[in-house]
Amino acid sequence: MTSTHFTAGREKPHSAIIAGTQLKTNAPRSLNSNKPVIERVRSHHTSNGLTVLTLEDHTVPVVTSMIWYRVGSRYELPGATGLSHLLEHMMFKGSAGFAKGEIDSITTRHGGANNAFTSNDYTAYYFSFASDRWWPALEIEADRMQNAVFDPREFELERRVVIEELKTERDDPWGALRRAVEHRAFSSHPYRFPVLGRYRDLMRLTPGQLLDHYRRYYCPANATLVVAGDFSTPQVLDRIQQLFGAIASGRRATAAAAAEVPRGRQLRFRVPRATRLPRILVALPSPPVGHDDHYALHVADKILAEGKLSRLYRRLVEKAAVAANVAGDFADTFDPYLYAVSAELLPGVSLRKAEDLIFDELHRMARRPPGKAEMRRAQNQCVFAFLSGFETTLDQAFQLGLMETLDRPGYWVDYADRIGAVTSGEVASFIDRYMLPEHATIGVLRP
Amino acid sequence: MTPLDFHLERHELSNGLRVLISENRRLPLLSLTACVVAGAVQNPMDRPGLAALTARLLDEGSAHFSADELARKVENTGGALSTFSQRELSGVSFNLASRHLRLGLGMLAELVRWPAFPRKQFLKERERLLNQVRAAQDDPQQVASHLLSRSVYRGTPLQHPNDGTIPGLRRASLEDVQLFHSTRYAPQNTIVTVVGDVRSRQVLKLIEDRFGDWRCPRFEPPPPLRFNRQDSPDSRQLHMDKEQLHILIGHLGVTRDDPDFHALQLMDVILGSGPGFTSRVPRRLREDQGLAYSTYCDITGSSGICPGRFVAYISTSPKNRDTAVQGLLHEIRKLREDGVAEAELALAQDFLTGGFVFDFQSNADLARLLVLIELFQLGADYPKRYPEIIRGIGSEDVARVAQRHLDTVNYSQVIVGPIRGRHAKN
Repeated sequence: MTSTHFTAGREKPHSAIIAGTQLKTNAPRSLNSNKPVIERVRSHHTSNGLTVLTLEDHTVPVVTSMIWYRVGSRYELPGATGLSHLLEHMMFKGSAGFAKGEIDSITTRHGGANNAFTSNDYTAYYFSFASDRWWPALEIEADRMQNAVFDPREFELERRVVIEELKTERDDPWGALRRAVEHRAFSSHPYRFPVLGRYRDLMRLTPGQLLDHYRRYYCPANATLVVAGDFSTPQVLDRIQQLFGAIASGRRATAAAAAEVPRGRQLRFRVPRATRLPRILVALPSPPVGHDDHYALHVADKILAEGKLSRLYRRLVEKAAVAANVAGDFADTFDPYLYAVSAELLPGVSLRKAEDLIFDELHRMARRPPGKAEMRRAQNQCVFAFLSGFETTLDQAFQLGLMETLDRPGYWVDYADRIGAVTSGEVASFIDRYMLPEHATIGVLRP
Repeated sequence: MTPLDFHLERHELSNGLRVLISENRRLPLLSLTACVVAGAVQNPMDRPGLAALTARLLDEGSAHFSADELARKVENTGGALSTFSQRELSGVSFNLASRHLRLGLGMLAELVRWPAFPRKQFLKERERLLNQVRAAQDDPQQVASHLLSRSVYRGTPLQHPNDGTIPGLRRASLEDVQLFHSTRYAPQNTIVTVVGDVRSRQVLKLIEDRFGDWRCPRFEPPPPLRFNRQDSPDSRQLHMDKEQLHILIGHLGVTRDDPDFHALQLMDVILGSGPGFTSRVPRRLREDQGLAYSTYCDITGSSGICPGRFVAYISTSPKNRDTAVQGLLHEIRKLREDGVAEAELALAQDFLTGGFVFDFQSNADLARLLVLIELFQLGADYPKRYPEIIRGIGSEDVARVAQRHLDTVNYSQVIVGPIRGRHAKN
C-alpha cells in the first residue's frame, strides 16, 4: 500500500518513483545537510512561458529530464474521464519527428530509461540517459509537445490497453476499495473520478476529444521541464530555447471545478468483491499542499502510521491485535484531498470494532498532544524521507517538478524548517479539526 | 565517484564474516545491510515460511533490548530499518543518516546475532505472516506465480511461496525458529555491506568491535539441493472471481553463475524485458494487438544461487485467452528456431552497456551490487568489464542459449482468473 495508487502510468512505476511519491517529510537540523543540493536548483523561463528547473550534479554521469504538464483528472469533465491518462499513453504513438516505437528504440539504443505517469493533478514524462548521450530527450519532448499524431487505429489499440489496465486495478482488492472510497468522498470535484477513467467513458472517448485535450494542455505556459544531473546549464538553456522557443505559449490550465473539502458524512459502505480477509479504508479530509495545515499533516502522518512505535500500529496490531498491518496514506495535491487509514484485519475481526479503535486513537491524539520525543521522532522521519527523496537524478527531477507543478516553487528550500517549526499543539489541533468520524468515508471488504 | 568506477573495499574477519564497504559522499546518507545466505530454499519441506518467520522476528526483541527499545533506537534516527527473507538470502537492511553510523552497525549486530525470539512476539508475528499469506490469496497474479512455482520447483522447498503456507506456518514452532537461526545465521555465512558517506577505516573498526567475537558452533553448511528441469508438460488452472486472466508459461531457469548468463540477458532484452515496448513480446502482444497492459518474458531476472524461473506472462481479458497463449508461445518458438537479427542484437547490446551506469545511483542499489559481486565472485572490476562481456556475444551465441534454455515442449502453463461465471466470456 503506497501512495502510487494516486497515479497511473504507461508502465508499472519505477521503484524510485514509488519512493518519490511516498516522500512525506519534514524536519529540522539535518535538513541543513541537504541544503547544498536544494540550493543548486535554478529556475528559468523561456520567452514563451516554459518553466525550466536545472540541478547540475557532476558526481554521477547521468542526466534525467522530466517534463510536467498541469493536467490530470482534476481537469476532466463528467462523461470524458480518463482523457489525460489515455493521452499520456498516446504520446508514445508517434509525432511528426518520431514515428510510433521510435521513442522506445532511441531509449534502448542509448541505453536509457523512459516512462510516464498521470495523477489527479499532473502528467509527467521522463528520460534518464548517460550524460554523453542524453540530448535526444529534449528533442523528443519538444516535438511531442506540439506535433503529436493521433492515428485512429493506434487510438483503438491503446484504448484496449487502458481497459486492461483498468481491469487490473479493479481486480486488486485495495484498488477496488480505493476507487470506491474516492468516488463517494467527493460530490462535485473531479477528484472523484479515477485517473484511469470510468469504463463507460473510456469506451466513448474519441480521437477528436483527445486532440482537443492535447491542444489545450500541452503548451509551454502549462509545463515545467526539469533537468537534473551531469550537464552544463548555459548549454542546456540554449538548446531548450532553440527547441521550445518557437512553440505557441498557450495558457496555464485551470481546474474543471471549484475545490471541495471532502465530507463523507460518516458514510459507510461495503464493496462487493470476493475477499478472504476483512479490509477497511477510512478516508478523511486532508489539506492541499499550500495550506497552513500541510506541515502538521506530514508530522501527524508519521506519528499515526510510520513504524512500530506509531500510534495506530501499537493500538490495532500490538494491543488489540485486530489487524496484521495498518497504513496511513496521502498525496500532496492542489486541492483538498484525502488522508486514508487502511488496515488488513485478522480473520473474524469485526470491521466495526477496527473502525472504533481507529477513531478512538485519533480522538486520544486530539486530546493528548504528542510528547517531545514523539514529535522529535516524527520530525526526524520527515527529514530523512526528504533527504532520501533526493538520492538519484530521477528522484530529484520528480520532487522538483512535482512542487513546481503544484505551484509551490521553493517548497523544498524551507521544508525542513517548516517541519521543525510544527508544534505538538498544532498536530493535536490538526487531528481535532480534520480527522473526525463525521467527516469520514469508510469502505470495507468483507469475506 | 561515478557508478562505473566506484570504490569497493573487501575484508574478511577471522571468524569468516565478509565486509564490503563503498564510500559515496554525495549525500549524508548511509545504507547498511547484514545479508545471511539463508532463505526459503533452506526451509524444511514441511516448514514452508520458516526462514521468513525467523527474519520477521529479528527486530522483535534481542538479548539486550525489548522490541520497543529496538524500535525506539531505530525510529529516533528517522531512518528506516527492515528485515527481509527471500529465496536465498535473509537479513536486515537499515537506511539512515550517516551521522548514526555507530548506532546503525550496533543495531545490525544486535538483530542478527542476539535475537531473543520472545514467545509472545513469535505468536503475533506468525499470525501476521499467516494474514499476509491469506492476503496473497486474493491477488490473482501472486496466486498464478505460486502455482507456477509449485510445478517448476516440484519436490524442493521452493515449490512453496517464500512466505509459507497456512498449514506450514501453523506447524512452525518457536523451537523451529531458534534452530533455524542457530544453524544458519553464522559469521562465515554472512556479508555485511556499508555504503554511503563514511570513512572505511572507521567502519572496519566498528565492525570488528561488534562482529569480531561472533561464533556459531552449530552452523551447518546446507546440503546442496538438486533442481531438475521437468520432463513433461504441465497445465494448471484455477478459478477466481475476477475480470482478467493471468497467464504464465514457464519452466526452470538458470543460476547466476551459468556461463550463458550474459547471452541470456541479451535474449531477455530482445524477447521480453527491454525498456518500453521494444522487446518482441510486449511489442507484438501489447503495442500491435492491444491485448494487455502488462506482458513480458524473462529468465535472468530471477537467477541466483539456485536456478530461477523462465517466465512468459500476460494479464488479459478472458476473450483474448487463446490469442494471448498462442502469441507468447509463438514468440518463444520463433526465437528458438530463427534466432536473432544482427541489428536486434546490436540494439540490445547498446541498451545493456549504456544503461549499466544508472542501475547503481542510490546507496541501496550499490549495496545490492556489492552482494552480487561477492556471492558470485564477479570481481570488483565487474562493472568495468561488463560492456566488454556484452559486446563479445554474437547472434549465434544468443541463438544457441535460446535453444538450450527455452523449452517449448516440457513447460508449465498456469491460468488464474475467471475460468467460469459472469466474467468468463468478456
